[in-house]
Amino acid sequence: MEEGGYQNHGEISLANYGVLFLDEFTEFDKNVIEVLRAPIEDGKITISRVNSSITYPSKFMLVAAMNPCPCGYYGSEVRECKCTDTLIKKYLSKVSGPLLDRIDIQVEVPQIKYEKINDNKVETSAQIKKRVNRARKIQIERYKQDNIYNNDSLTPKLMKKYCKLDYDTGKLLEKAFNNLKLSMRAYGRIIKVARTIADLEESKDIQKKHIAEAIGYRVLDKNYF
Amino acid sequence: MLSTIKSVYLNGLDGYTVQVEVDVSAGIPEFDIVGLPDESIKESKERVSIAIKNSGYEFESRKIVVNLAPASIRKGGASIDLPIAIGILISTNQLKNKRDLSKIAFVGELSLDGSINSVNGILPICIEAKKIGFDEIIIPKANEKEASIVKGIKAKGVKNLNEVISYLRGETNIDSYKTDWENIAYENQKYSIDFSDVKGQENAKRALEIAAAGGHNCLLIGSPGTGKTMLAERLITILPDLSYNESLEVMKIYSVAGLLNDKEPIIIQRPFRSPHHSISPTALIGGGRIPKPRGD
Ligand SMILES: [Zn+2]
Repeated sequence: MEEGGYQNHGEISLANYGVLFLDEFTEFDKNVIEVLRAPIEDGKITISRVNSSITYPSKFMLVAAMNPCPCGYYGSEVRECKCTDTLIKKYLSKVSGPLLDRIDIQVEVPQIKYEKINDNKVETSAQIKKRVNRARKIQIERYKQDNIYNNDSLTPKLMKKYCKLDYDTGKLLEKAFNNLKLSMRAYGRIIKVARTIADLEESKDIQKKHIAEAIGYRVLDKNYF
Repeated sequence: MLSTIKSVYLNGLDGYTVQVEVDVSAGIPEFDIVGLPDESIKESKERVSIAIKNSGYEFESRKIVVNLAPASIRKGGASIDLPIAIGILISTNQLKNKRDLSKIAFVGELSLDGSINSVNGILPICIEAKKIGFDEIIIPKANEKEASIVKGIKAKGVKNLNEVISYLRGETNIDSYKTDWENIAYENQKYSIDFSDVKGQENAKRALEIAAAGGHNCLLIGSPGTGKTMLAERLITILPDLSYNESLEVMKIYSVAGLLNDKEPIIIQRPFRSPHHSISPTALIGGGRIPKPRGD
């Protein structure tokens, strides 16, 4: 039954088990970006109303896209960036901090040179999806007693159980943690991503190279700040 | 005579049994609904009485009291019209019921001519009805495809009040709609877009593959024209298959939101939502009061 006059669910709940894509991420109101923090962390959102409160699920994947700077061409080989350092800093500060912490994979999409475009052996979605499905199956199987479906939903307690690192791998992560001044949250999220990279390879253990690749996806932590 | 008809009430995505108790007695003619109804249920009175008359039955001028139990939960919406009408027909001896009413839930909004209109949230209602332990649920015909997705409960679609009456008298049977879930779920999902549309960008593609596999959040940073939006939009084509349980969870919300219909009764693809950057915090995360257009 619908309660007239209330808007209940938001976009994040309609994106449950799917993707919430925020294009031109920096154009969103800062408040809008900030309110995403809790539902991303909790996988649900509780909405209070006059007589009751209602909880909706929000297990969505946040995918955001943004320019590297206000003019759009920072680091580009095609055009020169005209932004000052201060301007770029201010621009990036919009996505910095707590929310950025929760974005596990940050990746640059560079301008590609023309000669590279002609290669014919580009993979199709079907080929990629096959690997994705296999990796997800491994996760579903591993977590069947734990009431979660994927690595992103791992709790700290479950991570201790399923994401053990050997000495060398742990050292590598520790080093990155200190050098990049990562938060504890980012630390945990790197391990989760590494778990997924290992699953894509059908590797039982998280290896050094998996952690290294996962660290590589903290682009903004490294290059921009 | 007192009769009790059961319905399932939805609070958010959680369902409760509502007992619709109807008592008809001699006395000053009146029609009252008690048990913490909200304003919208008061409108039920008009619809129910006129729908009963237009279906060929009497809406007797006696004292009719409808109690919605438990009284601790505020109830709103029109989906309780149908159980109220059935209760009145039984209590006024116009309907001799031959079915086991303790095992059947009734959900539906009545039109003035006695036809039964679709309601939002039928999928979570059926899921909850099954959880509560109902064997059958009588629902609007227009919702039957959506309802058929729930395994373990017989959802019977009805077009009007008279169909329900003859079913309860044992004169007719109602078949439930059958969805071959497994076949639909494993049918090839076809998209008009593909990852191969984007040439190069191996690094970003690899990152999206990992994000899709583990459900990780992802940020694409690049100059205009590098294809970052194209890539993000194509993520949907490589996301892992939606399991039956996940699919039910997704559809519950779409059902409540009124986004499932006869043409698109089920969702087997992972949702992809891309709100514009002008979106408000409320529209994004939910909640808040919005003005409802008049006459809607
Ligand atoms: Zn610039």
